[in-house]
Amino acid sequence: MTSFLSFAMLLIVGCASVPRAPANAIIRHIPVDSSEQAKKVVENHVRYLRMLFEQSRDPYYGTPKWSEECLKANVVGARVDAGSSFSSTSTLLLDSKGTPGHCKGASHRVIMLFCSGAREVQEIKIPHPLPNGFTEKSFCI
Amino acid sequence: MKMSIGLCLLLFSFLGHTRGLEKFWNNQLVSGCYVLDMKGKIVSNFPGKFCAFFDDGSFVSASDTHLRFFSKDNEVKWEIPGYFHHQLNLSIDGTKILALGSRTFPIKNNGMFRSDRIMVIDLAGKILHEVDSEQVLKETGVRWLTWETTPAFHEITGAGIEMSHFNSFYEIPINPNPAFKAGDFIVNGHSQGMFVISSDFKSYKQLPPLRIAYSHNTHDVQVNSRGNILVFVNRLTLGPSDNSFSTVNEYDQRTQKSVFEFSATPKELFYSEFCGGVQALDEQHLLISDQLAGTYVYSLKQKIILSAIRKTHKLNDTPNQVQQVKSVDLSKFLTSRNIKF
Repeated sequence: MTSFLSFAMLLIVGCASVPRAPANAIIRHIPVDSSEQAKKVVENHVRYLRMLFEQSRDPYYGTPKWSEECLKANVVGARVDAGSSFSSTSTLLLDSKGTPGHCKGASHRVIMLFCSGAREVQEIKIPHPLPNGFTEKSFCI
Repeated sequence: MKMSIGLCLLLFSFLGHTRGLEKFWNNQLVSGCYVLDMKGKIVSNFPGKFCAFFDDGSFVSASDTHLRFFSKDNEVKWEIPGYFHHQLNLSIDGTKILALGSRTFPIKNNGMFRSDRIMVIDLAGKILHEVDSEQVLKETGVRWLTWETTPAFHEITGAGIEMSHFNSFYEIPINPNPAFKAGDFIVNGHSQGMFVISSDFKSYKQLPPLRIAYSHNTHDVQVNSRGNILVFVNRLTLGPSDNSFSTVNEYDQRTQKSVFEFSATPKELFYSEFCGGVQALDEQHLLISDQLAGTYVYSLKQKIILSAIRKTHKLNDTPNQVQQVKSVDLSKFLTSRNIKF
């Protein structure tokens, strides 16, 4: 959790400059009109992922929908604010199409990033762990 | 070697197409909120336990706690709290949601009971019609169940006893049987019978019992275009000391006879005690899903299973108890969401 927070903070510190993502990062640009709309985009993203991985049990058999291992491999991070910039960072197993909701697949950091004054939210998917020689800090500077 | 494998695959694929599957092969399979291709590979997965999808990328999702409508951008546009169960269907024109909810209520000295709420909701979240199973049973003179709930069920719903166990809810299509008016609804109550609810929810009637289903151990009851009932019969026995088995039937209420029955040989090989689904893909093909083993495309004309899809029952490496699997063309929904399929 601490590393999530520090990662998010570092991202926001780096907002003033163009984030330097690893070559294998996939970035989707989501246009927004305002900071409020950006906040809604990030909040929807976080809430959706939480509902996707919401644990439930079969009412008749008692079996869980998600195994504990699967939930440990899919951790949804909350929105973190720093001034008027904000981000969320989740660790998720993505399938070959980059979609979440799986218990096997490639682990990714999925970051939703909004930098103050920007007209977009960036959804950044980076294979996890990060490439050799690449630290989370270097992404932000 | 590689070439021969490729040739085999090509031949297999060609065989599949000549067996009459090509009409359905581009459809998707929906199991709860999982979308799969016709080979059983997961295409995508959405929040909730039961989902219905729309061409514009939005979808509605039912869970233990809510009925929620998600926009294409995954924003929750509206939600209705409650325990939703068994299945979530759309009206035939796709403009209304048919949901099975719950109500828990105390009975003096008997703890908490659970009844079913049969709900029709528009796409903006407005409840258009709603009736409690207690009222349906009262007006049709059917006795309450007194089913003790499982520990998990009790934990989820807070109820110790079920007074009804409604498990399917469909709109009746245009059909030639005067007993079934198009636009009315058919609801199935496990061990209590089938009920027709008028389109305005003002009248309720119980249908005559199925002679093929002792104790009415049934799921996924619907009226087809021939005016017959399609039904998954969960538990039958030939005699009191014999093993149980399941069947899928098309049943004509007018003659009180099955016009079609799917079962295994020997019969015990097809047994799905607690769940099961059936869908008419067209006039000649059924999609049948059982509880534990798989999903099958069955040809009524050839009397063979054309395709058996096992992976629908082991999603994300977790053995799933499957309520029903349905075949749906979700190409527009998936395209709207930029999901490759």
